[in-house]
Amino acid sequence: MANCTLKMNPVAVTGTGALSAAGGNVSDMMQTIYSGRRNPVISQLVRADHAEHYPMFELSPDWVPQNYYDGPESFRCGLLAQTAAHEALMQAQLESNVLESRPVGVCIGTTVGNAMNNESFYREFLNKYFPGTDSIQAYLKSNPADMLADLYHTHGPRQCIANACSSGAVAIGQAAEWINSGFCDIVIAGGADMLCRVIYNGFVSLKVTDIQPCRPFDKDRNGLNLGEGAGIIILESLKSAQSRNVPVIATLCGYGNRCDAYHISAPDPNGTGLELAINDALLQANISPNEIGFINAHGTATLENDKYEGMLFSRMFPHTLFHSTKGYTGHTLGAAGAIEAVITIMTLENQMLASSVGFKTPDPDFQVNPVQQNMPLNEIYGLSNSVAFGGNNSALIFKREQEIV
Amino acid sequence: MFERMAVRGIGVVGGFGCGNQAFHHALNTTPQGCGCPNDCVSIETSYGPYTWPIYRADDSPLQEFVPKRKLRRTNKFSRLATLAAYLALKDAADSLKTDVERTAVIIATGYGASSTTFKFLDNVILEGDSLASPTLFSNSVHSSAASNVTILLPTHGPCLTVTQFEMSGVAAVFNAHAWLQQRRVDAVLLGCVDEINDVLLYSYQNFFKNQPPENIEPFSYKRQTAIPGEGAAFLLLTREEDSDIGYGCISDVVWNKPDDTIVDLISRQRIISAASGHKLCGHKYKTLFQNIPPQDIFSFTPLYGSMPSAQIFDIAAALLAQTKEVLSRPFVSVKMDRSDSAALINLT
Repeated sequence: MANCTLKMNPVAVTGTGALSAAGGNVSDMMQTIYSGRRNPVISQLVRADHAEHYPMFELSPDWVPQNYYDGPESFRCGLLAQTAAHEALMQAQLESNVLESRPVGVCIGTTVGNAMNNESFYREFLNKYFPGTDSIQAYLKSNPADMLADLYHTHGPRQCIANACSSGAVAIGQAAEWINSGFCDIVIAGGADMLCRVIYNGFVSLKVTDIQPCRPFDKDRNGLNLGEGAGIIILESLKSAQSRNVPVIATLCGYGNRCDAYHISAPDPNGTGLELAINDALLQANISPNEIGFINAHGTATLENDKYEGMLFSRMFPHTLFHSTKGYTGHTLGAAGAIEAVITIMTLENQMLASSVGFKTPDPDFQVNPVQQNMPLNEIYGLSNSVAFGGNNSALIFKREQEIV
Repeated sequence: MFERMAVRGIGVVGGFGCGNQAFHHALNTTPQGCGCPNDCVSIETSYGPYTWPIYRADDSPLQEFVPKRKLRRTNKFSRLATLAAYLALKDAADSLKTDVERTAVIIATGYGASSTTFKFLDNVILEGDSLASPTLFSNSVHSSAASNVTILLPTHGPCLTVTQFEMSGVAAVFNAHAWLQQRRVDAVLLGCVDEINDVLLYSYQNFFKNQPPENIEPFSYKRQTAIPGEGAAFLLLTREEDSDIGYGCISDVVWNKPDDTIVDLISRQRIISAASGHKLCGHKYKTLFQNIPPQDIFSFTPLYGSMPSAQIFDIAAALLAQTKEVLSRPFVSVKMDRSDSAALINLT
């Protein structure tokens, strides 16, 4: 075998877009996050027959795209991706003449958006009511990557990443890999996911949902709150951004993707896979752990996730500021890594790390704690972690490109 | 520039059986173009019951590699993938010492873990929300196969699941190339897996509303003759520079609307057509291949059935066929999708 070293040319971020329960666009979302407000609700749309009602971070009806509730359910993830992509493309100044004339890739992570889990169809099927083909037809057209590519008439490679809850981060990382491999020089990348009963019942069955607003890294944390939304970033080669003469908001300079090889739903208590992923990202960025200015943790507020992530931070990043923003957005599954990538980029841009809402009491199992108030920064690098079922771990390192004032 | 990837090992399991020898046997005993479904399933529809032939894959040989108790909580989707992954590693073992820690896993799937999702829904609908099964839920995510492969191997390498329906295979190849070219890993276990379930067969009958076909006729472009298949095919890929080329090399990948470049590319070599008897795509293949002599167009889909991610099966099948001198390199695997894109994977 050859002696292998990771290499990555930094990739420019020229646009960001997002919507989540914290806001219908990036600016509103960041404003909510900096304000410390949050609003998980008992959903009227996603109901199930459990002894407890678990709060979720649902999108405000004012922010959802047209036809979100009226059209086929399977289109919803794609519609969220389109909404966030529109914002990102506007910022990146990418108009149809560029999108249609150059090999522009589309790389979107999701968990629900590519699953045939239409419950009403399946109930009819199971009860021998012989449903028609409408639901299947809609499912075949609902791939979020295809919905974006078709909307913008792109003709580069496209793919939907299904790495469970790290899908959004992995989609961004793979998009950078495509650019570095020369398959395309612009990629619309990110993740989108929506709330639905299958996901709600699934997470409740795993006994990892909290009946209170979630408390990431808190000693008394008791599980996650589900959320929905989308995050999209426009990645392009530095050469492409320079030739288009558009501002580079940040660069993606490190990406790690590693497995725990431990359990189908529980994380490795030693955090092996995440540590390897972070090390790969650091190696690519050619920096040491102490150069990381802050971390956006996966921080779901489940007992196990936060314990091993906290222990890992105690070991690798004992003096680095970190937060979890799932207290503002909920756990948006396949969108989470992408929304948090946007938050990381905006944190670098604003040089302000938002407080980790929900955290009050330190957990004695680890020696580090998330920030409890907004913290001004003077930092160049931000790390965003994502962890998923089956031990899929991902790490993204973004670098601020504009001069720090 | 596309850096060539050597195919060092192949593992296949499908309706034809398990392993490369089973595939060779099917190749020798089945005239090309004739289907050989190995099972059938009766499906109720609003206009009566229909019996669909299918290509059923058997995952039980996995117990040769993994103790049965370790497989208790896995689903067939994962077991098929893991079996093919093990077979590919075993196939390569004679000529290549693979460091699994420097090996990535990439899985392409069209339907994903749909069968487990439906079992989870059975559970919810029949037993109630509060009795939903956490084990079924954990295994219903599309990445469950890739995760189980990494757990059972085991490897801490990178891992990826791509669901891009018909184009899942070519998308997976793009990612494998990126990881090898950028030295993220030394080898990639790249595979496809798809599984049959009753909803799929019900959908077949509802969509096509005709008498189920007896055989797949990949070159009868105007007839609906697709028969669903299930199974998994894995390739162990390395950089060409690292070793001898094994079965051959993936030397280029093109994914675009059929233009002059694509027409030119396919006119210079033998073609492995992914046409699997779907009338909707049939005319697209017919148009693309209109100037190609019929003797230069091959199809192996009648050996393993129709499944969206089967382009990886096509590559495995073609490379295995060349070892028996059924065809010779160079050749190009061609897959069309519903949006008129063509995916070309060149093999030299």
